[in-house]
Amino acid sequence: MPQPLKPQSSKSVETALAESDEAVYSLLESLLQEVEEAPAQPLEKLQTTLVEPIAEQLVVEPVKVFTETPIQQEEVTETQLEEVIESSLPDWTQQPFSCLLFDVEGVELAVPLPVLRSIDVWRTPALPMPAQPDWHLGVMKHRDENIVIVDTARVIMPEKVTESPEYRRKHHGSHFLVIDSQWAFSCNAIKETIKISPEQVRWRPQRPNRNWAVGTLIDRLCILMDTEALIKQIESEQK
Amino acid sequence: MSADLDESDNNDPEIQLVTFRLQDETYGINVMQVQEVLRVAEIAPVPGAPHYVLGIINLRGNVVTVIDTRTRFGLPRSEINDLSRIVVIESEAQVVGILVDSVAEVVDLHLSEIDSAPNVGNEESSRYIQGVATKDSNLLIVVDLNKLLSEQEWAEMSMF
Repeated sequence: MPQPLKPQSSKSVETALAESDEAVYSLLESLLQEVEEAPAQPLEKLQTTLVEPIAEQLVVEPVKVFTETPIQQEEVTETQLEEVIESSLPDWTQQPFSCLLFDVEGVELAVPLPVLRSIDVWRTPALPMPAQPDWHLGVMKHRDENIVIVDTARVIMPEKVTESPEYRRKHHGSHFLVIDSQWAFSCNAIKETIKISPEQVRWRPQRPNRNWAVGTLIDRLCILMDTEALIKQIESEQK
Repeated sequence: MSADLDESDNNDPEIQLVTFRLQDETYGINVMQVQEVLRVAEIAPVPGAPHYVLGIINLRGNVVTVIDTRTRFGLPRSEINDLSRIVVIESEAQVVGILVDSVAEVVDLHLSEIDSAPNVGNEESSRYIQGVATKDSNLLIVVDLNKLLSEQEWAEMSMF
């Protein structure tokens, strides 16, 4: 049973963590708490209120300008265009934020802490489900909810994955990142957390492909993931 | 006499090419498009990138995409060694790096010395071959960097 990071009732402390794990989790826990202190609301609520309206603006606004009324196109100033581009990025990109660096098949990736619910060690096998896509590593009970664990490498860099889905379901990564009550992403190792200001990222305001890659951390040369976009991509591919 | 020379120069301008090696061949690219030549340091892979994109590098605070020129040219990949270089070029308003086996020299060439290359490949693979020239008894393949990638591929270079 994986251990949640946030302080929980005594129920959550079922298995004693190894000393090294405790140290890492203590650090991560404190960082997650630090992020949570400012907005006094649950993360799920925070994610919903911050991110969803932005995604809608992105798609609809530019189409109106360029297709319906060409005259309006001339009226769009450079400043307005910049505003549209900026608004295509999630809200958390507008201010300094902490992010977690982790490893997937030897590739370093980053995910912003504000969108993470918890980080867990993979202690028990996930329940494999029949007739699922290759990226589906199984279902795991987490805080009384059934979450689907996604094979992150299979989704974002299928060109690097050569093993069969069955093999990867048995030989998965060591940790998984829980995003919400339904989704978690596998990873091979947790590295560290760092604080980032928006100027330290090369943003991708327009993302015709790899919508989940919201930018690149310039100093670390690693991709910053937009997990919500990745979940949307997965869900849309299932329809 | 001097006027004749000027006219001759105008009709047949001289260009400078930076030459580099890939496998056993020498290639030339317009020196005006070359920003700098770097030793190969850390190249970070980009998940989900096209197969010819090797990764990204940090060039004085700017993220630059590096193209595996061998892969783009349909040649087998090779290990990076001490001679390998990243040639940082500017083309189609994008700055990218191209990984080459080694950088040779800068040569002067008149445009008239560039012959059209026999087109034996398909249109896709040969579109960036501007022609061939003979320099010091050696054959030089002149590359049109602007046609190294398609318009859409160039646009994507800034998005890794």
